[in-house]
Amino acid sequence: MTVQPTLQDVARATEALAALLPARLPVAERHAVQIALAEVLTNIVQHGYRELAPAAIELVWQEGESALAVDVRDTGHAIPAGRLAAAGEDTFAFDPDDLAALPEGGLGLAILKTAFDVVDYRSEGGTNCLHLEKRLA
Amino acid sequence: MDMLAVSRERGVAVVAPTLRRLDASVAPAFKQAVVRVIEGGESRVVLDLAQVEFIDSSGLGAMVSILKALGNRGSVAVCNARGAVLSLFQLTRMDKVFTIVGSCDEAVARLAGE
Repeated sequence: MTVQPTLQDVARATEALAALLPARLPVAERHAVQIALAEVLTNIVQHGYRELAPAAIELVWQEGESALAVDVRDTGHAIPAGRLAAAGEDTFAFDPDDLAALPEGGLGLAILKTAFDVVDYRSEGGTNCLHLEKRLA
Repeated sequence: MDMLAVSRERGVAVVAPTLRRLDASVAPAFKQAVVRVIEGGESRVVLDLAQVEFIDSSGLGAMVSILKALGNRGSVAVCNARGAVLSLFQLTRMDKVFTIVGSCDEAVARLAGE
């Protein structure tokens, strides 16, 4: 699937991908994957292609017997080193009573790592490759 | 773009986004529109998400901003969150931050102190 680098096309693609999600994946996990893919594509559009001529995003979807694999390729700015490694479920360990400390952004990568079992990211020769896997029962 | 339907019930502002998706393309404008309602004097706000089918982290961030805009002077409750919308609150543990109830009536009653 090719996704044009606009938020409108991210919305279209996210809805199209949601329809492809395997029915054997529990509903909450289907939602998590759908949200995570929206976060990935939105990040590329908003940050990856900032001050660059935007180019289409390539997305390859492969449902196997034991896992769903999704590969996303773009030619924008790479995710800054360390940011993906630092994100995780700890990101969501807020104190509900500490209003000022609640995050108003920056949750996308943590959502991605929570939703998928494998998150592998490489940036080589100007192309960023994100490989994602979700285990299927 | 008129993205909110605002009504008032028992002293509580009921703010319903008239959007299917509350994502990065509309989150800043949504936040500003609700903050204007708060600046207009509302301190108890129900966010009715009945029409919203999908929220991303930008939309959720906008809701956190609304919570902060009210601060300790007011309160927020969320109602009619379902499907992927409810899953986002649970996934990010924001269901511990926001008061989430099933129906709009229940949310209004909660904030009206009934």
